Amino acid sequence: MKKVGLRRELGLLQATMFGIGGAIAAGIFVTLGHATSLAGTAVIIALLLCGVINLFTMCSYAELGAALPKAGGEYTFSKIAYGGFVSFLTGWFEWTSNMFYAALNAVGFAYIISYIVPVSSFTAPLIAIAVIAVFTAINVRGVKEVGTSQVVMIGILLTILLLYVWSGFNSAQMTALQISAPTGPLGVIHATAYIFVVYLGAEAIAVAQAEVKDPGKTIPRAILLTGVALIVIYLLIAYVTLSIVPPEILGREASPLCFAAKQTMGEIGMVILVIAGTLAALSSVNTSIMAQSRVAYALSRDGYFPKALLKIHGRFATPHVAVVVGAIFTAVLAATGVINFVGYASDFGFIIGFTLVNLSVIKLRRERPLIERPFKVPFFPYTPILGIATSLFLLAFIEAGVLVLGLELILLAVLAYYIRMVGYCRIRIAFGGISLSLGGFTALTAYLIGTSTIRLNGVDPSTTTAIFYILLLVSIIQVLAGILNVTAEPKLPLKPWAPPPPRRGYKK
Amino acid sequence: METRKTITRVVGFAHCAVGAVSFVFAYFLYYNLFNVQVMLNVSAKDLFLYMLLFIVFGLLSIASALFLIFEQ
Repeated sequence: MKKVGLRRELGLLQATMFGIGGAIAAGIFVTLGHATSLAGTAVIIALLLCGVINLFTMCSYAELGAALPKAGGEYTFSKIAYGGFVSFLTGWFEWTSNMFYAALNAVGFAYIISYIVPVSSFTAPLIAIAVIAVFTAINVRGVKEVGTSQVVMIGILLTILLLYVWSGFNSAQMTALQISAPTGPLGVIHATAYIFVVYLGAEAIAVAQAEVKDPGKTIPRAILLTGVALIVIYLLIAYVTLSIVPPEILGREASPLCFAAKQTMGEIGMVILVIAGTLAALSSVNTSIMAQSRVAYALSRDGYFPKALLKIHGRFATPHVAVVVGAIFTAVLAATGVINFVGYASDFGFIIGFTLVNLSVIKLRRERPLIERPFKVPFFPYTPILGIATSLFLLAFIEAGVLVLGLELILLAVLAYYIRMVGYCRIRIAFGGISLSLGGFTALTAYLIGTSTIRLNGVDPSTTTAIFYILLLVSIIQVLAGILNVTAEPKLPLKPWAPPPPRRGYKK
Repeated sequence: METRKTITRVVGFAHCAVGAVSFVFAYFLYYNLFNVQVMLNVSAKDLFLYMLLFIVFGLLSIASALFLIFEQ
């Protein structure tokens, strides 16, 4: 039987568009206003600082991506460098962050289109789910289709942003920009931590590295090109916006770019910028769905996630099960509509991922110096050390609530890792026991409703009887499932992944 | 053995459906569709607790169902 694997179909243009598309999301359209209120016109310095901090870590991604071009990105790097729980934690954060990010952008898309189409709080999550469904289908169809759709969307988005910049420079309202920071250097640092989110997502190239043609050359070029292009794009946008709209007005605007476009191009300008915002959100959904599936695939390959996620579609050569499972979780997250939670959770995960990648570069350079490295981080080890220091520094300026969320995510990871290590049989028996308890609880609820101990407001007796029977049926299903899980034949637990013995390039 | 396998699959799918319905119900509760909040006497203060209960119930049901559907 012919072995089906991931195909190398992404060229430099598509890989770069993955990076730019992953980073330019709805964020830049909405965060510039608040960042300006924190740092004044010095927000430009904050954006430049963010870009440089991002470049430190992008260099590490470029080195590892070119040297180890396998599916999984950060997870694969930390697996080879550290293995065990550290690699699982990296993969876990990468997987959850990308799902959170996809949900955030799908909900963001629904809110952005509300500028031109009426969207209620009820329809917004439904629109988000529909968007996730469409991009899940594209991702199942094939990585080439994902890459092509990305090139088209980012092409249009960049054209609109260039039009915005060009119209700004030609506008009569354009004034000479005086850079000032009314709140001092601390305000600039706060703005840097706040606006760093606009650079997150570019590392999607590393996640899709198993599908990039000529990875040794293409991956570093695409990653570094993306890092530099993002700095240029964001600085131009910020310069034009701040030159047209005074910072005190900009800080009050929900969508500063749309407001500035309205000043230079009128109503049509606002509509065009809304289109750009929706394209940015959509391209990020596209990239994140692809990224989460490749990480889930790699985690499954190493025995941390169920083997079912390892299946490759015979015709499209994509990990379709991993795409669909991740998309279901993403849709559930999007359906809750809690946009702040998903936003903060994704930021924390990405920053932790950055730190672990920089640590992996340092460890692999020391312990496996002979690995072939088509690209090397310049000024080693200072660049990755700066990457770690600046990432952790930014984390310190993020709201305390985000850190609590991050700790919760780490606890969840520990739980998932422990469950995986316990072995299939014991978990199955545990879930069987849980099902039996839930069945008992449901039967008790049915009894209490049936005997009218629990009264349902405004529900007629016939409906109450129907609810009683439905609950009874649910309890029977739960009990049956419990019995079947508890009495399953014992199987040997699956062996967890262990790092391979050191071979080539190992320093004795 | 074949009968047990068939029963396991059927119960697994039914169990999975129960989990999915639980999620949908949590959604209905959040948006108060069909006036569910009034029907169940759920106050705004307790809404998130009830939602959490339904979501956890759904997650556990789906996890348990997956063991049955993909029995090794």
